[in-house]
Amino acid sequence: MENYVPFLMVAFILFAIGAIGVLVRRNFFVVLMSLEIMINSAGLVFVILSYFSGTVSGQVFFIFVAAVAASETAVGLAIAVLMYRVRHTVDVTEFSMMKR
Amino acid sequence: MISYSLVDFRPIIPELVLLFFTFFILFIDFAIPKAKKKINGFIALIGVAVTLVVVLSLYGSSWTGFNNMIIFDKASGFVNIILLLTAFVAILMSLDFIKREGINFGEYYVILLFSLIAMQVFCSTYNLIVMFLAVETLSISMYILTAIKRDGLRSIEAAMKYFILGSFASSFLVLGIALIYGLFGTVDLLRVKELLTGADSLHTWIALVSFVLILIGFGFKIAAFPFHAWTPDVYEGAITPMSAFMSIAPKAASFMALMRLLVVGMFPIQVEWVKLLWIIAVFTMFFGNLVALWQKDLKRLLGYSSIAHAGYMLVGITAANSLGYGAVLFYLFGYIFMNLGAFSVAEYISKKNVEGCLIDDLRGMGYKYPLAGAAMLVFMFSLSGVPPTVGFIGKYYLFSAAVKSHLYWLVILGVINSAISAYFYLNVIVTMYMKGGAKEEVVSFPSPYLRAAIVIGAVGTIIFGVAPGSVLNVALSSIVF
Repeated sequence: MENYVPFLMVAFILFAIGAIGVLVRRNFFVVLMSLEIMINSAGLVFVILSYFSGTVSGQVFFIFVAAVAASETAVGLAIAVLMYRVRHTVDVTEFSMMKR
Repeated sequence: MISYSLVDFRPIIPELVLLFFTFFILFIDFAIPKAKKKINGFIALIGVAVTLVVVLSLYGSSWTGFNNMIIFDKASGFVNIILLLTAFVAILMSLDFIKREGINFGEYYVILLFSLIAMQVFCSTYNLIVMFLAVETLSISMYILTAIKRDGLRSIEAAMKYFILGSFASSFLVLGIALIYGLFGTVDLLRVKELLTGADSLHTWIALVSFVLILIGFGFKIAAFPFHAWTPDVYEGAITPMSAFMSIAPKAASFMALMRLLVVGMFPIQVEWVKLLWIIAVFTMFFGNLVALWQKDLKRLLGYSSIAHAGYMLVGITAANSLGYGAVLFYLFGYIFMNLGAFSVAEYISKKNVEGCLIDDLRGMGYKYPLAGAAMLVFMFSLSGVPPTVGFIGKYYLFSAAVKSHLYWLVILGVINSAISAYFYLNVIVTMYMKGGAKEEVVSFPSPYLRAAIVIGAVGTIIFGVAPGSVLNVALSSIVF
């Protein structure tokens, strides 16, 4: 019963991979994938904790999280299209007109 | 077995009314020819006004619905009023502006109203999952509204930055909620409070960690210090009515949700979160005010100033007494008029297809457009907190709440910040009146609705500064926790 720790570790490692990906990658699509990894690993935490605590509500919450992640990605892809249209690149660092 | 009945729909009456108008615009939009898209704006305006009347008539009732997932109490009623007033002025600012910029699609108003509904839900729930869904709906709408000027380089850059940082922050929010769920088996803050009261130290620590994760998500929305990076870019890049809208409405809803999270859910660990919030509030105030000193763009300046104002409002929450919470609500109410007014003036002198608005463009404005100049004078005085304005009254109550909780250093640092901020706000006034004649190419944007927005801002700033009594009493009494 107590061995949910390794499962949670997997989720946390995935989350860290996603977070690092967002911070170091320059291609917008890879950033988008990293964001997807992050939010879905958080959803994985829901499923794991739901399974080990014996309540189903966590799995229902994951469906909400997945739906939100999907709609977020849709908007992200739309922004990628706009980025490509104005600059012919999706390199995040190319978009730095506004500086402090 | 959970069963629902018609009674459950009472707390979401305001949302339902607004939803009706939103879908109405969505359906009739394709029947309206391109030249007459302004009709959509008027329907949105009527919808917001009707919802405002509904909220005002329901104010004071206390309902829960859908198995305690959604509530309607005095506090959420007051925040609803703030949200609807903000949307009303923002739509007034949009009516002619989006036609000039060539983005007068019906979707603009639809997405704006959808985000407004999400905010209404966001401020009226104790359930973390409902909060998450609401905050995501409003964030996604905001990403779209930032990028709505599809050929503007700055707006696309702003949308990209907003999107990446926003999704990044909301992943932390989900993780925090998941840990809370795993820890207590529930996402209802009222239950969490009961369970956290008797929890052992390990549970308390994990709860504190998950609370910090949730705070990342909320702090991003209110632009608190470590999570503020998006604010200036988005305010500069987005179209002006949207910058104005998102400088108040999402913040008001998020502050309400943050108060529910902290004051109700995290009540047993109040000592810890007060320390944490103290640090965040001080850094937020100092960062916003110090960086604003070097800004040349008016919208960017207002972005940094809104970071600083989030810091002032965090002072009210850090005070952790009901006077402080009420003062936050009143400050948000006053902030509508001064900040929307300042953005309206920025729009008044904006050029077509230029997202930014230089402070230098204001030169000589006090003589060329005396009324708009005088209004800007009022807004800047109010933002820096000079007495006969609403900004002063708001700040006074925020700081006096902190004094009541013996947070003297916080108040001293807050007042120092107020003094720093006077420099750049007064710089705007000096530019308007004392830096020589107006530029030839700067012309006013002739829109009667925009003028109405400026007048609403100026009148509200002065009236609620001179006679704040009634609204202040309502704000202070609407805090029930």
